Amino acid sequence: MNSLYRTLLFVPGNNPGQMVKADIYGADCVIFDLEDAVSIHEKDAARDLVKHYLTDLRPETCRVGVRINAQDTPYYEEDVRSMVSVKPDFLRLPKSETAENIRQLDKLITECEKACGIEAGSVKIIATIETALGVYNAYQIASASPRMIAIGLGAEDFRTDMRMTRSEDGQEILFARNLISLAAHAAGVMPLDYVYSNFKNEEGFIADVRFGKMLGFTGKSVIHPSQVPLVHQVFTPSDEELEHAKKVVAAYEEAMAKASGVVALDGKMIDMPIVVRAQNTLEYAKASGKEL
Amino acid sequence: MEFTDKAVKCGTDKKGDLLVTLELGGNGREIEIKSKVEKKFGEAIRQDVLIILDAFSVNNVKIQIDDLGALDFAIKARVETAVKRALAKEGK
Amino acid sequence: MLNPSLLNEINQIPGFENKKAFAGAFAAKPNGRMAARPIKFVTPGTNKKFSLDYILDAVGLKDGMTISFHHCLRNGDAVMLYVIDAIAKKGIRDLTLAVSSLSAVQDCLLPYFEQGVITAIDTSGNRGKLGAYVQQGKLKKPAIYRTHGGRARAIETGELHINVAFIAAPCCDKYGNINGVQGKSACGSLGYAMPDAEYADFVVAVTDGYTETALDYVSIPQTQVDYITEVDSIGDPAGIATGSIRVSKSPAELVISKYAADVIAATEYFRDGMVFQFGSGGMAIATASFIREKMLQDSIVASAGVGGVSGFHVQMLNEGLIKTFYDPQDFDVTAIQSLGTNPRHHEISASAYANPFSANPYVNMLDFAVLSATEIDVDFNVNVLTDSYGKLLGAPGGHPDAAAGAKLTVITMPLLRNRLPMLLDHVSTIVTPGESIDILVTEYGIAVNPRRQDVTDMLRGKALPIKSMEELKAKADKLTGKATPVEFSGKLCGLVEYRDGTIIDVIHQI
Repeated sequence: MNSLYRTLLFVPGNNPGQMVKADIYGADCVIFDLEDAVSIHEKDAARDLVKHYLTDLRPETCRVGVRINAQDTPYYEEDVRSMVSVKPDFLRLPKSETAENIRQLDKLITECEKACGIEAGSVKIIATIETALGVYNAYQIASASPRMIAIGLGAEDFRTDMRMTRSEDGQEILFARNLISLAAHAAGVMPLDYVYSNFKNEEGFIADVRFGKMLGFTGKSVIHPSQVPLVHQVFTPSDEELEHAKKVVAAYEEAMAKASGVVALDGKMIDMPIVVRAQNTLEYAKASGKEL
Repeated sequence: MEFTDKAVKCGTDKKGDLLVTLELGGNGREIEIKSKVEKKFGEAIRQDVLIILDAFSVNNVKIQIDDLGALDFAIKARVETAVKRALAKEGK
Repeated sequence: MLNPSLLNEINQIPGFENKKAFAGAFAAKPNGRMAARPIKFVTPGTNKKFSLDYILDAVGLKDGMTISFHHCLRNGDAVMLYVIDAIAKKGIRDLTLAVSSLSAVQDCLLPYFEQGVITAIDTSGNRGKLGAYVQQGKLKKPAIYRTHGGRARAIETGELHINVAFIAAPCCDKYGNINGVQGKSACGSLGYAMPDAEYADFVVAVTDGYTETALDYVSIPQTQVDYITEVDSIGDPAGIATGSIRVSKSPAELVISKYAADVIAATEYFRDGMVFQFGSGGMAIATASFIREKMLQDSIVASAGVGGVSGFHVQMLNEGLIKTFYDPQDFDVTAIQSLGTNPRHHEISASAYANPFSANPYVNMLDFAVLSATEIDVDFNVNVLTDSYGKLLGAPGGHPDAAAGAKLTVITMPLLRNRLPMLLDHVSTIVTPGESIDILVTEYGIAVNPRRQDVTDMLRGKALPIKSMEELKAKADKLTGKATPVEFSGKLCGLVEYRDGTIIDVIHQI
């Protein structure tokens, strides 16, 4: 398992046929969905299904999360209680609007971890932000709990809340994307790009992933298996980028070994941010299976 | 298998899933399994059902399983949901 | 390996006294000469066209003889029923039906089995009602299941002697020249009829495309054809050729196909001038489409394609990605049209394609072959003939032939289907021996046959999900849970023949 969250693949929580195949598409994370993908009459069934699936067949090659129902629904508490008992890597909370939402969830998870004898802090939180208020509070949400590992934008609900007109290339959500990326990096968590729902438009999708990467997003939520390799492809450094990164890191390590404060490559000074970027590049290259 | 309106259902008729029809009451555990893979997995399916019935101490029950190649986890999950729904219906 | 007591039982059956057990893909060292072919003679201007009734008398068809057909009309064939019904009406009984394969449409032949018109089967596969009939143990002796190359070998060595071959002919001129690319019932290559036409005592063309004009495209020449009979229709075009087969849309199958293409591209067999074979299922076409992308990327061209053809193969041929195609069978209309019009698209016989007892069958040219499987076991043995309960449903076809010939044989297969594990300790029926299989590709990873250390070395450091067969087996077992073992112990009712004529497995009564 690599340490990246490039792809978070949503899988309906009440479809055993699809759940069994969830781990074959190479996604860095699989998120079993108890929320939008499950009708209100089947919330109980989906919980039992995800619980037994994770007990018997938990995937070994990717991280596992569960998208629970929002805090203002009658399903939320039981979702948290039943899911924490099978120790997913994280719970994804929809409609996160304030830091208080996260603190409440944190508290409930803590209580459940204790009840189940699970090490405190094991289950992390990813917050989906999908309202105007949520975007406005993005930094507070992202920094509300040590369990927070990422925040993501839920574009569809956000557009509705903002009374936006939908465009194909997503111009209208640009500000929210910028803000989510900024808030996440400021809080030291990962920014996750929104779901691009038209999975048949491969070209549009790739362009969108590239743009998101440019804005600083480190991964993307996806709803179709075919989108997984496309995201990874965008996040895979080119051979030239990889070669350059290797040289930078080598120069840095050499400078460290010599206890020299100055890192230089081909006669040029290298700033620390460039070194960090190069280290990130190596990590992405490794996750993509490139030889280092 | 004959059921009354006390029966509850859980699951779907999609590939890889199963449909459970369950009614509490009667004498003992009546379990009927219909599956294309019965020859190889009929016994495994029965064991899954028994594990859940034991866990909820349900001893008098009628269950029909219409299986479409579901794996053990799904069988256990669907039976568990059905048992919980039936108990809830009885107000327990 | 075949149980010695089973072999002993087989050797007690008349006609199978000399059958040997499979001993290795290339263990047979044949010698001697091919079977003698009948001398034929007609004076100029002799008429060949008669009623079927007249022809059956003229060829002297009698009880106990062997009649043959080809399966190039696939599930649209009407000729077998037409001919066998006429034979039955003459009161002839106890025939052996030697056919290159049987499809679901041949369920209609069941009454002729029950009446005793046909009492033995020599085929590549049968399913449905005929399969059930075989597995009820109702034939006089076990059915024999041959590979495409094995059938050609049996005919050419005289092991399978055909008294009368009835050849469904989409187009036939008055001299007896036949092709499969013209006429309302066009089926494409007649590769599987060619050995029959060459070696049968009598050859009868059954055609719905009769013409007085000499053909300019000839698949089976007039020199081999004794009689012609004309019918309204030799079959249903909808069953003869499928619509164009598309790339699979199943995400899981696409994962497998992509792995297969990636693994092939990582070997030395993926190179300019390569020769390959793909099946025509949705997953094989998907693999071909990923291979095509890699070929375009790397500017690589295949010197030849071998095997059954569908629209996607034709597309690659037309794009120049495949320079030439050697074709024993066509699956769709695009392929049939291409065979008739593209000079780089060649019709070859089943013998040329796959007969192991020849100076070099075309399968030996293969750098790689991508094949499917019903089941595979930890020793890489493959089953494509029966299902998980031992019930007949497929056919060896060219599977063992291509696998033996190819330098790299890749099996693409899901690890489980409908809860049933497809990777087992032992397959229900061995059709292709593990020594011919080099790589298994599943949605959960790729296993390389330990016999191929060289391939393992080629794949090192290539970012592919390489697993051991045991790891994949453990994964399959974990997913499917504990199965109740199914015993295959019923009476012997079928022999699975390897391409060289040895017995590799048997079919049991169920």
